[in-house]
Amino acid sequence: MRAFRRAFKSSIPVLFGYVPLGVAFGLLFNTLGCPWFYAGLSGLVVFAGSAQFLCVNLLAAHASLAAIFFATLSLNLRHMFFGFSMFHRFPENRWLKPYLIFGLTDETYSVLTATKLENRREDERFCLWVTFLNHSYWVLGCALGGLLGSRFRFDTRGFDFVLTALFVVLALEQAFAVKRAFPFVIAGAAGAAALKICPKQMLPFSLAIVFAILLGKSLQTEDKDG
Amino acid sequence: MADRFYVLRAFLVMAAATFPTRVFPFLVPKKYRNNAHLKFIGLYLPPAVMLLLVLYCLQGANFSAVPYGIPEILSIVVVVAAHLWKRHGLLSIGLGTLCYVFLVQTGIIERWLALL
Repeated sequence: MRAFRRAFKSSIPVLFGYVPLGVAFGLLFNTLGCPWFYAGLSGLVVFAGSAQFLCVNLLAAHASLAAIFFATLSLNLRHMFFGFSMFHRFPENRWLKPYLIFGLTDETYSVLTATKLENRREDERFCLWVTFLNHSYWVLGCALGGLLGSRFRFDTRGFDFVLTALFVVLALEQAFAVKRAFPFVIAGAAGAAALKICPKQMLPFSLAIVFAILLGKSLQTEDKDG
Repeated sequence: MADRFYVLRAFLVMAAATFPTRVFPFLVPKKYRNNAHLKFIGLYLPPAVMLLLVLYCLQGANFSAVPYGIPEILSIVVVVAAHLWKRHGLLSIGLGTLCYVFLVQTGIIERWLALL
């Protein structure tokens, strides 16, 4: 129960991020004219908020499935490096592990990297609860948005700032945790460069730069030590 | 109205495009997992990624014309100030978002800039 309590407490900011954002997604998704629960279904099956938002426009334009595949893939490329922090934390169970990997969103990753429980078993349960709770919040938000959107009209302008605010808070928490400036300096420079050079692929591009620089820095440190 | 089976197939395609990106690191052979470089990246990548995601979210903001990204900047200042003050995630996000929704829906920044 300790693991659940810690997980619930850590996931509360995500609750207040995911539900409004999910509602915003559901409201937007409703413009496609699908049954209201499709928005919730999207959250349940896909569980990648930014890709879901992006694909509403593609679906409205009747884009090909291949186009949808590549759009989703490029937006989610940033996840490629997330698991590198998770090897020692996820359970080896053959059902639970794939679920935890499936649920490794930006927010789940942020919450999990911000807190680690001492006891291995407790920590595995913590990871599982955080993932499950976040997934539930997201499905709840999407379904609620679909339901509300099928009944009322809303002015949702500005609601999407929840996501920005969430990442600002998580960046601050990371700063408190690592107490080093260089990751932010590298990210700032890489992000600015990516926005100038290829704004449409900003995330994969800047992530690749950051990854390369961090690897270079790590190799350099090893040379000095050796 | 979008064809429902098309939408359902699209969901599956999106899920199929998401999972490989998340499973990738777990496919790295076990013998490399205790690698010092991977640990270094696992430690310092998260802070960098968070800042990148903030920048990514700000992509839609207009910094070259009215309102010059002022709603975004002011709201981020509110989030950071609130977080340094109480270090309470929910409070920081709530105050920042309220600030942004207020600034955007009332168009108050645009009106003030028009007065200058």
